Amino acid sequence: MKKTTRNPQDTIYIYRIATLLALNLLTATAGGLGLLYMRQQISATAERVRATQLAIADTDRRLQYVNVQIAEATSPDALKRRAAELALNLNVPANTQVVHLAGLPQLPGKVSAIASATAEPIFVTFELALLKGGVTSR
Amino acid sequence: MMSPAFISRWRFALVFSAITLGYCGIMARLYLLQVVRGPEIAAMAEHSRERIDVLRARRGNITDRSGNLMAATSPVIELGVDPEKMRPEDEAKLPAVAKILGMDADELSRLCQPGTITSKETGEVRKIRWRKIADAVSDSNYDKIRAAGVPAIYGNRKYVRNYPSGMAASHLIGFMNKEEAAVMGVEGQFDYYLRGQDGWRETEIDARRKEMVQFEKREIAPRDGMNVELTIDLAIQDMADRQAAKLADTYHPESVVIIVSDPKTGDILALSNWPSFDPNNYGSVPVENLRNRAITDVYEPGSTFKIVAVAGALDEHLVTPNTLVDCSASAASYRGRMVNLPGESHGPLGTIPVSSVVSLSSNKGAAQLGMKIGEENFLDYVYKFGFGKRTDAFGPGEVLGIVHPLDKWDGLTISRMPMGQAVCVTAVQMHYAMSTVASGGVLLSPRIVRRVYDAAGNTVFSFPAKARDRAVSSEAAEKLRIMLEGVASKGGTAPKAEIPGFEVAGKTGTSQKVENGHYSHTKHVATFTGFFPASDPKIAVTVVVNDGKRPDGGICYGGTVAAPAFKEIATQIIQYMAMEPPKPSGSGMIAENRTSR
Repeated sequence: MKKTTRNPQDTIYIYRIATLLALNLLTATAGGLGLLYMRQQISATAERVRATQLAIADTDRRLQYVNVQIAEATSPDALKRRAAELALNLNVPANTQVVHLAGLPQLPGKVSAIASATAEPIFVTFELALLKGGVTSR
Repeated sequence: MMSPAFISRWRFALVFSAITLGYCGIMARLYLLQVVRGPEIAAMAEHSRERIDVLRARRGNITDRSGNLMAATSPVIELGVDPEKMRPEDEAKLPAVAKILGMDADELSRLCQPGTITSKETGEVRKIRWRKIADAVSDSNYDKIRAAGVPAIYGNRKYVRNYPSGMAASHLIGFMNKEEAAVMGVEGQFDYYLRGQDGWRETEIDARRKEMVQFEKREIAPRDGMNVELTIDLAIQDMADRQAAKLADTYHPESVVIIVSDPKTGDILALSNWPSFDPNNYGSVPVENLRNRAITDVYEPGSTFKIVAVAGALDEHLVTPNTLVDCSASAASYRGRMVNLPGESHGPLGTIPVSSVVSLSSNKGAAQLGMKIGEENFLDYVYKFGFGKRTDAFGPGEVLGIVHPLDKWDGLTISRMPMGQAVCVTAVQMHYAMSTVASGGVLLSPRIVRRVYDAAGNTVFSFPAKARDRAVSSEAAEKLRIMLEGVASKGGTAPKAEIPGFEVAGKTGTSQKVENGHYSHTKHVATFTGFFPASDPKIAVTVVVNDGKRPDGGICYGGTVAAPAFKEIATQIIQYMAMEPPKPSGSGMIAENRTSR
């Protein structure tokens, strides 16, 4: 049987086409996968953004809730109820309990010195626990 | 072609035709779906994927002048159960859930039992998939309930308007009803600023109706409502509320109104009504409790109205504080005719100076001063002091009061109106008329709202103090102010309003109520309206007790019922605001608690 020989030019041409097809296929595959990856990332980012938004909204909501709770706990009515529950026996000062002085009292020098030495601001913190049930001080 | 040995020709034709027809049918259906109804179905598919979520704006807060929350929107959870999702093991967890909710476990168990519901319209019987358990569960309790592990019990979040300070200034604040409509007060007046603007989001959902966030198309963010800062001081409001309740307990009146304001700015620091209501639970009281009686109810002001006649006469330079007035005469000449003078409430007074007409509350003296001014001028002063006009600070519901025009006056009106008869006013009008004396003769507008501000605290709108009219000259107001100090002192009609060290200026009023067209001898309106310190007024207080009943059966006079209430509130305000007594040499005030409590 007579063996046919392929023209080298044809072989090169076929290889070129095959290479181009392979590159084309590779590009399409990579592009498709890239697109898929990109979409996944967009989706994941969007989910994260939404989750953050929801977390912020939830925090804001809880903050508002706590604000209302604090306002309720510190309303005059609630404080009076707490005072009654704790049997603090608080009364509105009578007018006779307030003494109005015409000027600053003239204290002895020693007393004045002690007064000025201790005349620092005193910070008193009422914890919410006091208003809500427990008795805590610090 | 297939051999006729295997299949007959007609059978082949039949099968071929059936298959061809089948394909034709499919093609026709495809044509119908893809071509004829294609756009419609495509739109349906698009529509079923699309979802528009409304993003609710949160209603703004209402605070007092110090920032204390008086109205806020807080999130709660409406709790319910899907009985069809209840598992056998959930039954044992129900007592724990019931304990969190503070309800009976049997009741909760009953709510969790499956059931059916019949549609009223169609008669269709359906399984119950949602049954409400609780209307408003807090976030913290809801977390505990979810932790109990009963998936069938779940909640839907909703926002409710909450009034943390309860009944305090409820008539000024107003409330939101069940339909989320602002009903009255600041809630209604400032609804435009408070309500905010809802947003929306256009997005896509999957087959399980879960949002596909990545396909979100557009989002318009909601704009939360702005916040409103009132002029109210919650502490002073509480003082007024307690005093109103105390008056109600002691005298069982029809109503009590107490107004506290800053006479130099018109700021209302407290406005208390009794009976009152809690805006968190407005439906539990009679509807008349919702009325802001300070602006809706009118009464004859009685002697408190004498300030108009005296101020007018001083302003017209017709009298001085030392001008003598004959308060023993039974009639006086007026424009060529004799007009009968009213009787005195506190016995015969003889001839007294104008200053005593005020401090002793002489009816005859006030009538003669009114006659000196003349009808036209007197009516002009009545309007200048704000009577017969709305203040327009309180929104709908405020009434004008009753001030008759001159052509409706009879022969006696000029002698009766100066003493506070033949005229009807609201408590707010009377309060601001007295404040006019305190502010040097300028009638100010009541101010309820100081500013509207955004979430960052930036002022968006501010509402400065506003003068409405100059009623009288500052000199006339000054002279009247000094005269009014005599009322709240020994020898005046309201010694019980005197606060040692503080110059209290004020005026009592006791008017008979009209019953069946006649003045009642048993029903009265007791009023005291005043301000302090007289030389530099900082606070004005008005107390109106409508139809009080004294335990001893006596008449509730302004000087005996309203004046002591004034003093009690004023004393508390002095301590709260650390006000110094107006002494020239005074350089400070030291509060000393002499007793143990």
